[in-house]
Amino acid sequence: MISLTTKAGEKVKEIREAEGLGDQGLRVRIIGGGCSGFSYDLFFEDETTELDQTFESEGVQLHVDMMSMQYLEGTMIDYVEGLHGAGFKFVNPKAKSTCGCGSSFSA
Amino acid sequence: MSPGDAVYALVLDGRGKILADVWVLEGGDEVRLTVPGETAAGLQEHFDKYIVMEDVELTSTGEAVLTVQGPRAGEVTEGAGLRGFPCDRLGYGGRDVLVPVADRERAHAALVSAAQAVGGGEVDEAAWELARLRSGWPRFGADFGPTNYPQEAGLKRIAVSFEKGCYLGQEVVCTLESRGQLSRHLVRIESDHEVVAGLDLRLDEQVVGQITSARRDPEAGRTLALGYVKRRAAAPGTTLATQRGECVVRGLAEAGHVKGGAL
Repeated sequence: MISLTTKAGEKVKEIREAEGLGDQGLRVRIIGGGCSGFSYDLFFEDETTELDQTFESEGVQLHVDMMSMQYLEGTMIDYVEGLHGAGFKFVNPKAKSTCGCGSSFSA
Repeated sequence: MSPGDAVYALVLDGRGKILADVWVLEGGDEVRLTVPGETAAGLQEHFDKYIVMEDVELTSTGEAVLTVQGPRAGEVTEGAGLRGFPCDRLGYGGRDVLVPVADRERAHAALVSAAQAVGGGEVDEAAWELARLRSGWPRFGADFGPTNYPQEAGLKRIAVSFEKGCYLGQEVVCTLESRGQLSRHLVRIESDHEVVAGLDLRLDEQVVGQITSARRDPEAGRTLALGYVKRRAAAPGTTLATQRGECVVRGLAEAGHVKGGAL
């Protein structure tokens, strides 16, 4: 399964409320591309198919397709803020390496 | 890209090393890649790995690729009644034509006839190699491959953009460009002797590189070659020793540096 940290969950809800999206879930997926080969993609969505698995974490529904799940199993999504910026950070045990900014990984 | 466009590109691994060079052909309804034959199966597997849930299908078309090179290549393909993509493989202008294998003989004959009509003709591999070496144009499998970065193979000008978004291997390529120094360079070499690919190149009795391609130029009366040398041996005018005699570095090999002129 995949999960959100408390901070990430709070941030998701904050953004969701600011955009008037009610209780929409979060699509978490892997796409090909990026400087290490794969990239993470996050967006609000409630549409699911039979190819999806849904998890609940910190009060947020997380939807993941079966292909992306191969690369995301055990991932924890955190939210970090620092001098270099703020954003969601993926702690992924399946990643062999990541690029400098953390947005792309190899598996 | 617009339909009919073609771009030369490299496929890199995560370390920035070259897996293959490709021509990307925009066909409008689909995009084609022409790749070195020996890399096709491996490339398909490589690309397949990165298709997750995207609506992308990758198939081998099995088409034959015919190439016309020279400043009048466009006239030749038009004269043959064939659609050509602008693929300049030697620095003089060129067109690549893709046809089903069953039509290859017919297309080949039509292109030869059209080329002869403008004073050209079919060339063999030896002539192609000579033209390539006169241009100093590196070739995949001979002058660069999975152990080389784009910059050291002289491909930066025609195959690398430092203004585009993330691609596999980008971090290494960009870091090399902005902060690093290449430890070796592909250089153009000339010799009065019959030097051949595989020969070691020596400076002050130390091996500093190796010849990767070589061909005798009958018009110049010299052997033209490409080879990798260490940075300290890459300056134009450097004299290097080989088992077959001396040779001279003429400059860095850089695909695309030759424009115009006669083949």
